[in-house]
Amino acid sequence: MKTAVIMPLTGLIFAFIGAFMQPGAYDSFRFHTSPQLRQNETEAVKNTIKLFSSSVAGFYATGYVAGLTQFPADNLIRRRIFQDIRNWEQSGKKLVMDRDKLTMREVRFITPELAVALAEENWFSVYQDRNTRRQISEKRANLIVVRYYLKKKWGRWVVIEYEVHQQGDKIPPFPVSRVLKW
Amino acid sequence: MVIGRPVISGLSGRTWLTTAGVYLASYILLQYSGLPGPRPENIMRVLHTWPAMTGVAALLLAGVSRSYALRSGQDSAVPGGGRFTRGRLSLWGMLLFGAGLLLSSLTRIEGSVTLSEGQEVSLSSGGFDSGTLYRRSFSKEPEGSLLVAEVSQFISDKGRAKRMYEAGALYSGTGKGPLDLRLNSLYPRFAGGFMFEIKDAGYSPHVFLFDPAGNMIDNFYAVLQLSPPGAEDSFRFDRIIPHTIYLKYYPEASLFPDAAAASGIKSGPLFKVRIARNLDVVADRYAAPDDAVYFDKLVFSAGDMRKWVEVRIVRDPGIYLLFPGVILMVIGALSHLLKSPESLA
Repeated sequence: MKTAVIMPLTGLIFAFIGAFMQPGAYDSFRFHTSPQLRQNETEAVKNTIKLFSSSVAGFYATGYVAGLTQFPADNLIRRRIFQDIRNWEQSGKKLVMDRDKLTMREVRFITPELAVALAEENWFSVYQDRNTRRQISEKRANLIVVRYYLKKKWGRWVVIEYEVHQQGDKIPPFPVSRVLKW
Repeated sequence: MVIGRPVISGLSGRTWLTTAGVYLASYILLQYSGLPGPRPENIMRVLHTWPAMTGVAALLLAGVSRSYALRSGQDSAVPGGGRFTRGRLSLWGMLLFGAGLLLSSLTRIEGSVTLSEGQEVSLSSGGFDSGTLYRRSFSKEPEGSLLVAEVSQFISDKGRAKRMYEAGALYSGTGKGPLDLRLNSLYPRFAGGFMFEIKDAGYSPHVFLFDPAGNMIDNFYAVLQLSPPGAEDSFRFDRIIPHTIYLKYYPEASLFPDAAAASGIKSGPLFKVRIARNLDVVADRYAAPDDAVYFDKLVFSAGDMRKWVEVRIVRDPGIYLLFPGVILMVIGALSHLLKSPESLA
């Protein structure tokens, strides 16, 4: 009876040792077994997304880069946003976007440093004349579901990619193997 | 007490069961629990594959069978001699299995290349991950080039495309001229010391971007994962426009009544196109191939559809020991289960 317990236990210990030989395994284990740690990071991810969308609205409304250093986004995303702002300005317009509502549906952690978050967002947008700021289009509602991919860089969460879906669309599963390479 | 009695050259039935248990525990821990992080890329990429799993299942089967035989007192009558007794088969199998794993962990290199139909690529060492410190002849990277001619997809009786692919490929790296390989997604092909197999496949639509005057701004074949039908993937015209284009593809609209009804296109290929400019959705509609999709004073269209395959190329001398080891373990397990009544007499 004693051997029957000792042998599988020894096996399990060896399996654990084998599993924890890969890099980052201890941090991952600690993260997944500590509800407090996960809760803290979930809050940090939610705050990052709020800051992301309020920054986007600010950049579009002003056209200025004020707050760019705090903007939690990868360089490619920054470039796409400012390319769009510049395009509108060159055509004499300003796109003003206002976020009306943001509801976090889900935050999932693939690793302690890689998170995927699903947010339901209601935006209103209107075009203004660049110089007079006179409204030149009807206000348009944009009801979307955004899946954000975030990575922890230099101790803070940064949006590295996002997908935009219409509200009511079926959201496809995200490609875990591809995301892990980011 | 016969349960703990040594039966196969010092290995008891319980040891076999424990070994299988260790394997199962490591598999659940690493592949499913996610506790120690993402799925590992080291020795476990061989240990947790189906051939290795077959071997461990055989081991488990042999262990259970052996324990049962010992409990019922049947096996005590089996003579222990002979070079190829079932116990020794399993033991040799385990030794080969272990040696194969060790060699694999020291020498395995693997990489993958993605090619559209008709595309040829040079194979360079940069794209291959050896994952080992050993860099000599056993871990030599592939040389030469790989050309994929045509990719065909298996179609079910109902006309729906399955996720099984076959591709004609030419590999020039053996020093004997191009070698014709018939690759498929079911089993690997061996050539020049390498194992080639189709890891993934999908559709690659020819996408176009036009300005309002109808002048073409850019065009290319976008490698996307649009299979099975209804799966969505995205791409961008990078550095040209900030938009993201999301595509779904239905090879035959009539097979997908919902899409056909929503699009008004009753038969033939069909795309679902959604275009987002940063956080703003600016187009969302169905389109037939070459249909114009207007957005932000630009025009998008998707036309000619090619297929692409991701070919995985592996050099792993360890599998030449591991596979025979698994076969021996399976034979050993089967011989435990199917032992002749005479041997029990």
